Amino acid sequence: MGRSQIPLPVLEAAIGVLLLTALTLVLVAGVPAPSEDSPQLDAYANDAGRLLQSAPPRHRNATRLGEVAASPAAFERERDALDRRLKRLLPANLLYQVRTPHGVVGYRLPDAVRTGTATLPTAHGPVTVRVWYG
Amino acid sequence: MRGQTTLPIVGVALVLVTSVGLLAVLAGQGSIQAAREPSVERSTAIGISERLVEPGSGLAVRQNVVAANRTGEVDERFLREALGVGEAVDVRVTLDGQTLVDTGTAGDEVTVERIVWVEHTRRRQRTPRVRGGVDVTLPRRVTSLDLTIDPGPDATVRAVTADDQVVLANESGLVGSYRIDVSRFETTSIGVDAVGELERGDLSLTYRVPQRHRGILAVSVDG
Repeated sequence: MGRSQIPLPVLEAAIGVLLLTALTLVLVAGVPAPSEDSPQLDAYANDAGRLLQSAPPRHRNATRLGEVAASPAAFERERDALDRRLKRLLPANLLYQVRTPHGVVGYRLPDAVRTGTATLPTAHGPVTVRVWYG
Repeated sequence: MRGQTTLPIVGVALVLVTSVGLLAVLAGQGSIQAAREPSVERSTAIGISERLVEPGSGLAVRQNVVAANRTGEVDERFLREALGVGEAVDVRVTLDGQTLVDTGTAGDEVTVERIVWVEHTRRRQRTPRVRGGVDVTLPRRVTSLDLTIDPGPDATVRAVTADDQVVLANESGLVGSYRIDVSRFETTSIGVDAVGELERGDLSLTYRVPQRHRGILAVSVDG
């Protein structure tokens, strides 16, 4: 008894408590903090996508979005027009990125920023609209 | 001797570990729940805004396109009855900063903004000259055309074409008012196949040209 001052069960309990606390910390820190921005950003992304989807094409195709996603050549031709349209459409405090099967329009997506996302189907593949506060 | 002294210590240790475990579970659950659920006001605001931009909502004519002449339809009754907003919830709806309805929000409400097109239409009437076959080009975004044909006694309108496709035809002559639906996505040229001398005014085209600008529809909810 004289050899160890701390009883073994207390040591075990201390280790257990440490383990559980560590697990809790991982869980709490790992889950993203609640954000009030996400629904608003998602709404912006959805609206932008819908407005692009309902926009008539500049050349022959079903809609503006379908036209952009149709082929690499069509994408190159339309990317500036799409960029201008998005600038006009979105509120000034938002940055955006539109990913099509043939390339990306808009700003570079920074790391660790909360984004709103909308994915829209077209005849030539999905088009993803991302917006975030700039 | 040894076993007797450690028994209470084992008990204390067990209680300690169990309670910490319980706390851990609660904390984890709380943070997951908080991450998942936006506040009630925000959910309500999102819900109302979603309904307002839906076609057939009273305000929107198509998805995310609101009609400037329908803003009067959004009033407190519309919110309470058509959208089912509870009596305890106060809502303010603004379009480009202009208040459409306010049921008495106090100022600390949650606001959700939606991007929409605000569409207002301008009515145009044209009476084209008919010599040598009419060829009128309708602008884009026109959805329908009202055509009035009233030829003189020595003229007959046998067919009307839209983009070279026959949309109205009658061998013995078309007389009266007709409505023709045209594509909203591209310009449409209207042609007429007539026999005899048509005069200016015999043919009258009326259509509405939608004009639009980007607008922000904001819904504020006060729980």
